[in-house]
Amino acid sequence: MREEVLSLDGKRALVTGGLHPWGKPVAEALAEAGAKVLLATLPAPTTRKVAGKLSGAALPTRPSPTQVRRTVTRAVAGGGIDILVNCYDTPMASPLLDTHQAAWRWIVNANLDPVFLWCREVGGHMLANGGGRIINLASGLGERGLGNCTAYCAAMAGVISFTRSLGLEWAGKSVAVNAMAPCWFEDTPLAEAMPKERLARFIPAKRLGKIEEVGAMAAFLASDAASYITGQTYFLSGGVMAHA
Amino acid sequence: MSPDKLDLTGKRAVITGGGSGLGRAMALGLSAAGADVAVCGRRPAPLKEVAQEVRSRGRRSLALSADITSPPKVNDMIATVLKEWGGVDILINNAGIVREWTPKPLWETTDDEWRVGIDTNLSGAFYCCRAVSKHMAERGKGCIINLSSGFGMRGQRENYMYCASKAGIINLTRTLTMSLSGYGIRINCIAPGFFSTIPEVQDYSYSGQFIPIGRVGDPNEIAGLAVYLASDAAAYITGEVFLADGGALAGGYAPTGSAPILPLESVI
Repeated sequence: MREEVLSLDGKRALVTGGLHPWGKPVAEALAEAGAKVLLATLPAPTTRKVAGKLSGAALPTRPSPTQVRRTVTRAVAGGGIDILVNCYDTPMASPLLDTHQAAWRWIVNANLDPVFLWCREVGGHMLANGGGRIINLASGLGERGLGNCTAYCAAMAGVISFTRSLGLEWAGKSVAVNAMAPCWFEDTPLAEAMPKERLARFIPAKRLGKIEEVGAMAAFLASDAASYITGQTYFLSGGVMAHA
Repeated sequence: MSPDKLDLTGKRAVITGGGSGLGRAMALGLSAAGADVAVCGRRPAPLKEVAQEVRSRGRRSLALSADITSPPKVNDMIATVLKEWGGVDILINNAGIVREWTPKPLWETTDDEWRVGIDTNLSGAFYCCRAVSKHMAERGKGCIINLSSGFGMRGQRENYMYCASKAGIINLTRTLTMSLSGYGIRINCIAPGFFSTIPEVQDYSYSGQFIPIGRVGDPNEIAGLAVYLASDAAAYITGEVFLADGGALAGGYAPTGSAPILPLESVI
């Protein structure tokens, strides 16, 4: 495969969600591959700092319909959007009997609703402009269960299923929709809370994932090398998803 | 649902590997639901014992010694049942090799260790399906149940032939469904987790602690699923995989069954 196939030169990529843990490594990888990155991530101050370092633009955005629309209008006016990467990931672990409906709603709202909002807003623009790539951040817990994680697992399963359906809806229209699903990664809240050594022993690769490995997958899925891939969820599990 | 939909009276079942373990439990379960049961296997003694037990419930039974890795012997075995009983309504492909496996690195695994598992677990099931298929197609009905495993969906370290053969069973089931549904034949797959079927093992409490439900399965806990899938209550169900594993495959994500508490306030 020629190297140019992986290049994102001349592409404009909108990255949304939390800068930490996924937004930053994703933006860095896309910028490194040649894309101009538009950071619609939060929190705003660090977003500006990272955008400056990557010679990108900072458009920190809360995932409300009006703010999302305003940001997309600005990004489109500035030259369009070729790539959208949604990096929403808010975990919670609480026994079901202790989970208030407000917490349930919060988790579903934080992980699933923004994916819907950004895809609808940016997708309309992509469809009208000959295509694009959408990448959603899901989780291995969207496919597997874990006690105390009902709300988060359900929300992330929602992201996977949303991705599959939208991938089909826009399959003939040059907009590819895929998801990347990390499992146990360094510097993420759920992994931090787990017994470290036991976790490392359990993972077939014998280590946690590094966040830049998620950035690398985003760059791949955004590139021409992934032109026939849509509706898929790719796991970054170090072998955990092969585990019984 | 009326309970008589689960009744198997008058149905004739063939169960491979029916002399012990899950096969034995399914043979007794099906006969309790009314079916006549032919059990097939390599060793005659346990087959005779199961056949006797089936007869003691007032059902017909046949104990048939056959090596399912041999297509002619499989054909003979099915022909014997057809001759004796005039038909086969239910085939359960249960015979399989589990224990004849010693963990070792891939480069030390012999051709025979690989082949014996593939031949028995995968090819054996295929030969049996093929042997009954024409008969079932001509009658326009029939039910096949293939035994896979949780390890047909997930990997286990250094257990190549078992995991690969059981995964093969799952897609064999789907392919048979695509091919035979037009003839009124239903094909489904039961995927058991860890069951107490190893004669040498008395105490399963160690294994049980790795299973969400806290214990390994009792072979009788598979029989009900087999009866249901073989019965008219499952008339619309075909091409599916049914796990019975105490919750094992719902997890597999963490070394612990549950995540440590991580309240919402700590992450927002």
